[in-house]
Formats: sequence, structure tokens, C-alpha cells
Amino acid sequence: MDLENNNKKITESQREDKSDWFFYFLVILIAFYIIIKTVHWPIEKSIDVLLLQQSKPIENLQTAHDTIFIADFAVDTIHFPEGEYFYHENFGYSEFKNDFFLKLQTQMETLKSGKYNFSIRSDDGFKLTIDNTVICAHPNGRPMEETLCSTTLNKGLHHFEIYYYQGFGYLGLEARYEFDSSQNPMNKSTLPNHSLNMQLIGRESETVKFHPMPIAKLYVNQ
Amino acid sequence: MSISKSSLVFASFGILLIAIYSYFFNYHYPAELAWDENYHIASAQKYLAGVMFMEPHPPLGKLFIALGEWLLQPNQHLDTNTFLHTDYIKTIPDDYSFRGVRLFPSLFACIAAVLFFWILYLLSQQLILAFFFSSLYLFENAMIVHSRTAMLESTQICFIFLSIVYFLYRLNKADNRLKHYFILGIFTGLAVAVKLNSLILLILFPGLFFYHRRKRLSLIQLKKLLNYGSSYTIGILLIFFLSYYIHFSLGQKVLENQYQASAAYLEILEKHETSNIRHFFTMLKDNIYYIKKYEQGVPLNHKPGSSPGTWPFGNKSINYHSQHVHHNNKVGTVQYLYLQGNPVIWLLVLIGVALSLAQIVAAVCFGLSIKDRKSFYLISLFSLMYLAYLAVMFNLGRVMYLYHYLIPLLFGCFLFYLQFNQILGTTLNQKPHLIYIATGFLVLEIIFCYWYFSPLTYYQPLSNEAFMQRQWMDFWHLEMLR
Repeated sequence: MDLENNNKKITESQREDKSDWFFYFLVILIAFYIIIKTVHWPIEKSIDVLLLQQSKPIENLQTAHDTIFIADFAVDTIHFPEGEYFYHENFGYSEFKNDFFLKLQTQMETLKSGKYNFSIRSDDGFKLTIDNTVICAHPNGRPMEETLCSTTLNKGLHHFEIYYYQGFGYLGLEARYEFDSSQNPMNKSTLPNHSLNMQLIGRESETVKFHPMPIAKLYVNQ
Repeated sequence: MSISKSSLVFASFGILLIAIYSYFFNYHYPAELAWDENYHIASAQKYLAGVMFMEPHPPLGKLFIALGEWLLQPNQHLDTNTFLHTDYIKTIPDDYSFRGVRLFPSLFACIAAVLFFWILYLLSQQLILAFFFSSLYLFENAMIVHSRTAMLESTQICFIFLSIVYFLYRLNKADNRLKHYFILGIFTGLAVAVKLNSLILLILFPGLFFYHRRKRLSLIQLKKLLNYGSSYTIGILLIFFLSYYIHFSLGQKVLENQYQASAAYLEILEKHETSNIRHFFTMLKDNIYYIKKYEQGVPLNHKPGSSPGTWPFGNKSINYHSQHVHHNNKVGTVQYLYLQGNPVIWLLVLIGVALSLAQIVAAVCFGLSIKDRKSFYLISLFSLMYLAYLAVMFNLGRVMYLYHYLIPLLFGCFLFYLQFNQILGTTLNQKPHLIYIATGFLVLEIIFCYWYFSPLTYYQPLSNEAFMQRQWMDFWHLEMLR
């Protein structure tokens, strides 16, 4: 009888120990879950963006500035999807809808010399300059449409800049690139949807890397 | 004063200080209307101006909101006359301060923290554990955000806790008499006079009565049941009627008869006899009828609404107020006041409820032996209150919101605590240090999550990126401001 009672007590204490471990396990599990949910690896954002909110309607890229608010921030790609609001997957939605300019700058490091093709889809106008040379532009308003252009770049660092404006209504901006190994002139009609296969500006490839602008150069001519 | 009593007082003071930090500090911020404040501030202003109105909730909570405004008078220099002509304020004057209207809800939330600690202490007689587990209330983000606004729930929860503290205190005594049931009725009445869903506390009466009566009811016991039940009911009705009496006495002017008061009520108002006790039930009848009519008008669906069955999982968070800010010149920065719970606490509650229900089923259906009768009794009681509350919510036939879950959430906290003590009771006696260390670690996890979600609780600037990182679960429906 005593032996039976002793056995019972041992089983009881073993069960207590197990329930004890259940609690420790729970505490550790919660800790792991919190770590998984709260630790985020930083995304490398190599595109510097300057947003200039205007007080008056913007007619085109040449409209004189009447800036009421400036915001500067960085994003990883030039991809602001078409829509009613200024959106980027890095920061989500923002309150900016109408009448603002954007100046997007990055250091484009070309690993090969040769011809590079660019695709700019915008609503409204834009101007693309590389090393202070205008590559292509659409100075006036338009719905989301694509402009294709190309230029020859030597191996090395280049100052890449897009100047963009949003008037009213829908907005959007998307910039892509590719190294043209064929060396053929780019023709939109002969290359349907070709630009969709091109890399977004900011996303590295075998031929191009992107680096944030040095602070000293970033604020020149702003 | 014995050592344990002085320790209890000292610990209570510590809890109060922490509650002042998490619930009270800067309580008037943001100076923006949040959720149902549009209704409650309009009502409070009518009390101050002596304007008659009717309301879907009993008056006590709103009377306290008005009392805070009357005591501090932070908006004396502002024209708030527009509040008197509507039940729903759309705008507030520039420089309107919330110091007055949010004073009592925030204060009651702090008092409730101490009461919560006492409940845990009464459940376990373990001072250190009760102190540790008070973090379930002290750092509950949804409770905090809701309690820091001019709304009714923090006042209601404070009185609910008061009732439970008294219930647990009397549960240890075998000589409960008429006056004790009357006092319990008074405390229950205070909660009911704030919101009618406090009637869930009615379960406490049989809970107290039957605890010391295990045998079949004799005729004498039945007579006692009726006597004590009457005493309890009188306590409730006394407070309930008293709060309405103050409500009627204060509302003497009719601006617009939008509440469709009866001719008899209008005549009483005209004669300025609202304080006359003879007319009390005439006015009460109109007010009760208004509640019924109002509830019928509440829509079945509303975007922030959610099903009670999904509340334990946190569906769905509610955006009380939000606006874009230009913080450090960054785009996509928003200040939110979001009803978003602390996920660690909500998980623990879920575990506590699940374990309790499993234990009850195992004991009732499969004859699982019960080691601690009192603990099992309390687990059954709080489980019943938890389930009964949700069952009532299911059957209301109107849209309900996540903040309606705050009361059962707190019952769930008690269940988790009871389960913790029951499961780890023996280990606690054998190797308490290990349990204390693990509990301390759990408390740190709770505090970390409180801090992580605190920008949504205290209206702090949050980048959209950081906001998205806080969407741990899709079914929370945390929606970014556009």
C-alpha cells in the first residue's frame, strides 16, 4: 500500500515537473516569436528622394517653385505605382496627392562600358539626366505612359537623376534600365513589353550597382 | 500593521505609480476626438449646461466625465454651445482641452490597476506573483488607449473590479449576511449604472451564495436565497436609480425635443419638477424606452465592427483617430490612436481560457480529480462569466466592436492567473526562484510588446514602414491611413 502511495507521489511530482517545463517552454516560445516579428534587416536604400510640395498648381516641369513643404527620404527602387496616392512599398501610403515635384538621385556604377537602355513610365512629366546630360524628358502632363531612351556610359560612377512632377489626378513613376548587349537601337514598336523585363532603378544587376549619393553632392542645386 | 499588510500597501502603491505612468501621464493628449468621445463629450456638456437629454447608456459614466470638466474647467473661455444641440460632435473649438473630460476615465483606470492587483492577490495570496501578473492590466495597450479617452469602459471596469474584490473577500468568510450582499449589490450597481452589460456581474451573487452551501437547498436556505437576493437587487437598484435621479435633476432645459419625451415628461420639465421624486418613474420610463429605441436603430454592420467569436484573436483593431504628420521631414509618417491589444497578453488570455474550459470539461465529463476546490470553483465562475458575456454579445443583433471584449479579456486574465497558480503551485513551493525568474522574463516580454505597440497607443509618429511591421496578424486588420 505504502509502495503504491509512493509511486503515486512520484508520478504526481513528475507531472508537476512537466507542467513546470510547459511554462518555461511557453516563455521561450513567446520570446522567439517576438524576435522574429520585431527584428528586421535594414533594406539598402540607394535612391535619395526630395519631395517639394507646392502651394500652387503645377503646369509642367518648368513651373516656378512655390514650395510650402520639403521632405527628404530614401527608397530602394524608383517604383511609385500608378494610383491616387503617393505610394512606395518602403513607406506605404502618404498624404501627398497633388502638385509636388520629386528629385530622385543616385550614384549608378556601371560595371561595363556600353549602351544602356532606360524606360521611364510616368504620370505626369519627368526629365532624366545622367552626369548632368539630359537623356530624355516629357515636360508636360500625361496619364501613366512610357518613354524609352538610351545612352552610352563608360565603366564607373555616374550621377543619375530624375526630376518629376505630379499635377493633379492619378500619379505614378517607374524607372527601369538594362545593359544593351545587342547594341541595337531601342524601338518600342519592335520590343512589345520589353521594358517589363528590365531591372528597376535601384535594383542591382551583373552590370550595374547603385550607391546613395554623397551628402556633399546631394544638396547641390536644390 | 503586519508585515504582509505593509507589503501589500507598498506593492499597491507601486502598482498605482506604474498605472499613473501607463494610463494617466499626459492623458489629455491627443487633443483630438477619438471614437465615441463625440457622443460622450456632448452629453457631459449638457449636464454642465442643465440641458435635458436621453442616452443609450445609464448616466453614471457620463456624469463622471462631466464632473471632471466641471472641476478643472479647462474650456471655460471657449464657446461650446454647439455641443448642446447635437448628440454627436463633429468638430471641437481650437484650443479645446481634454483635461477635464478625460480626467475621471483615466483616474478610474489607475484605481482599477490597484484593484486588479488586489484581485490577483486574493486569488492566490501570493504577493510577488500578483505584483508580476498585474502587468496583464498595466501594459495592455488596448485597455490603455481606450481608458485614456472620455469613454465609459474604464469607469465601468473599475467598478467591476471593485465588485470582484469584494466578492473574493467575502468568499473567504462563511458568515455573509444581508448587509454583505447589499454592499456587493451597491458595487455591482455602480458598474451597471455606467453600462448595462455590467449585468454579467449578477453571476457573482449565486457565486457567493452557493460557495458555502454544498448540500441540497432546504426551505430555510431557499428563504435565505430570496432575502439575500432581494438585498443584492436593492443595492443595485439603489445606485441605478440614484444615478438616474441625478441625471433627471441636472437636465432641466429642453432645447429640442429630439428624444421624443412624452407629454408627461415635457410637462414635468416645464414645471421645473425634474428633481421631484414623485415624477421619477415617469421620466425613467421615457429614458428606458429611448434605450430600447436607440438599440433598434444601431446598424447591423459597420466597417470597424467585428464578430464576438473572433475577438479573442484580436479581430478587429479599430482606428480611433489618425492623421499624417510631417515628422523629421519624412513622408509616410502617421500618428495613430489604434485600439490594438498587447499580443502577448491576448495570447496568455487565450491559453488561460482554453485550459480552463478543458479542465471543466475533463472534470465534468471525464471525472478528472480536482485538487484545489476553491480554485476550480473560481475557474468555473470566471469561465461562466467569460462565456456568458460572449454569448450575450452574439445574440444582440447589432454591430459590436472589439472594445466590447475588454471585460471578458480581463476575466481571461484571471483565468490565466488561476491556471498558472494551479499548474505551477507545487513547483512554486519547491523551487520558487526558477518560477519567479521565468515569470519575470514573461513580464519583460509583456513590457517589450507594450513598448513596441505604444506608438499606436499614445499617438506617437510612426512611419508607414514601422506601421506595417506591426501588422503581425492579417486578421487584426490594422489598416494604414491613406
